[in-house]
Amino acid sequence: MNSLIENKEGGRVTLKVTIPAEEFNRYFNEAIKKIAREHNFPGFRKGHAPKPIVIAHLGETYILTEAASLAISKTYTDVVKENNVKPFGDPEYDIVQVESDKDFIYTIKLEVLPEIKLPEYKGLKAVKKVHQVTDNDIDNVLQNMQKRNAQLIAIEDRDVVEKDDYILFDFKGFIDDEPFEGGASENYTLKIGSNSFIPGFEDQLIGKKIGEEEKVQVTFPADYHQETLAGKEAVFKVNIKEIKKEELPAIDDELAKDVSEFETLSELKEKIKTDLEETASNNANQELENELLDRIVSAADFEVPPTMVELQLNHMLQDFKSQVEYQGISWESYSEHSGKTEDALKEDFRPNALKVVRNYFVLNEIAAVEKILVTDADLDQRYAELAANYQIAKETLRDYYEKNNRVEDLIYDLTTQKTLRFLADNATVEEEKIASDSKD
Amino acid sequence: MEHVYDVIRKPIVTEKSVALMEKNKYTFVVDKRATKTEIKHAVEKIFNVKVLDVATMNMKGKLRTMGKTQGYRPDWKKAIVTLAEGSRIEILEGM
Repeated sequence: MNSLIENKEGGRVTLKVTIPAEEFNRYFNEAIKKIAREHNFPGFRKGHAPKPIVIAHLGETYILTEAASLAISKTYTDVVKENNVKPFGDPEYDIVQVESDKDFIYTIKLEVLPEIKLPEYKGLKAVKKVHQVTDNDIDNVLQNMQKRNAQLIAIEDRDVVEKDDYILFDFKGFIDDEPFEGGASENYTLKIGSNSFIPGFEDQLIGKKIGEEEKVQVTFPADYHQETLAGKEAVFKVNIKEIKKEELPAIDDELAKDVSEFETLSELKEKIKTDLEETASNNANQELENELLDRIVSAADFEVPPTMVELQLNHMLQDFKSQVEYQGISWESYSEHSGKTEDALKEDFRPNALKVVRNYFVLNEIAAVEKILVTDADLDQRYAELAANYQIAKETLRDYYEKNNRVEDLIYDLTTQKTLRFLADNATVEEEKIASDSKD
Repeated sequence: MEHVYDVIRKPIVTEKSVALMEKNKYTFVVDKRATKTEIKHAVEKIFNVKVLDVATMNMKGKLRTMGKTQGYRPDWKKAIVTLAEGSRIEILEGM
């Protein structure tokens, strides 16, 4: 057997392999033996039919095809080794010449893993932007807690509904004097101005009095989700029972006790501060790592195998589809409404997919060069973290991963993480504190 | 018998008969009434070879059942023809 590289471009390699007639004859005989074992020839036990009988029964072409595929599968590994290429994905074969007693010639089209020339990736200069936690941020968190602990207090000294009130009321809706389904409820709590009812309903309640039979007249919007009601006029009889106000608890030790395990407000504040600082620092680190990776990847020069991008694209498309379907929309109707076909979406995803694949190659290469390995201890720690997240025993989780062959994914994640960490650790990093952009 | 193809019905190609071909012996199904001499002449005429010897044997038809009824396949005659050295019947070797 001898082989040579015919063509090499764009991550694809074409190899031409020639197997001399003599060598191919051996494959031919082997194929006959194999076929004899698999077929029934009347008058012969399985596997005992002689060569001429087999040829006469099945035809030479059939056996040649079989011999060819046998020869290809037997020589493939050697060919790859001989030419020192790293194949990826499924190779494509093309038979150039197959005839008995002649040289067997075939070509293999392979996608090969790119040779990656890494740019300088150590000692990069970068600025790490750490978000500075201010009192303002802490107050925001506290206010959120305050809102979550708000209570509704009945108003005693007023019997007229105002905006922003919470009212407890019964209502009964009629269309053409007929009650309709879903149009009635009792002891319903509604915030006036929350726009949770159809437009006009809440506004008309303003000024109504407790305990009096009042009427509200509304028209259902034309695009109302219940088609039988859309565009219809309806009259609601309402009976307001109570008017309530939202009362926020004071931000003090009492609130701290209610919402956390801490006794005093200052302790809670301290805890919020450390939490926020941790998040800020994590975000900053992640940003730094991404920036470094982006820079390295865009400086690295290599060609990406198209199939791999295609795989990633399919993966992303699947993800997107399941996201759509998770929201209760069928893929067909989504595609109809948005006017996006699968192919159009793929084109949208393509730059991203390319980036993911390039990142993958660069990270892999750096990990290999720097011998960044995931140790059992790393893995164990990750299991512990995940187990804590899902609140299940570590052993159960480990079992799950091992049984579902997910350990590889985990190792890959960890390697990525470690490699990114390595990049950040080896960069010259300047830390810059940025003030909080005030959120309300 | 009038015609050579009435004598020689068909060749037998089985593991055993193929093994015999090495010894220059070819096996046929022949007419039940055919004699060794008739077989000799028929083979010589059809395949253009020289026949040294003819061995014949009467074969009993096999018992076959078809549901409840059973019966026998027809009896037949087998002939093993030995050819003179240098004679071959090539087409039979690949059947």
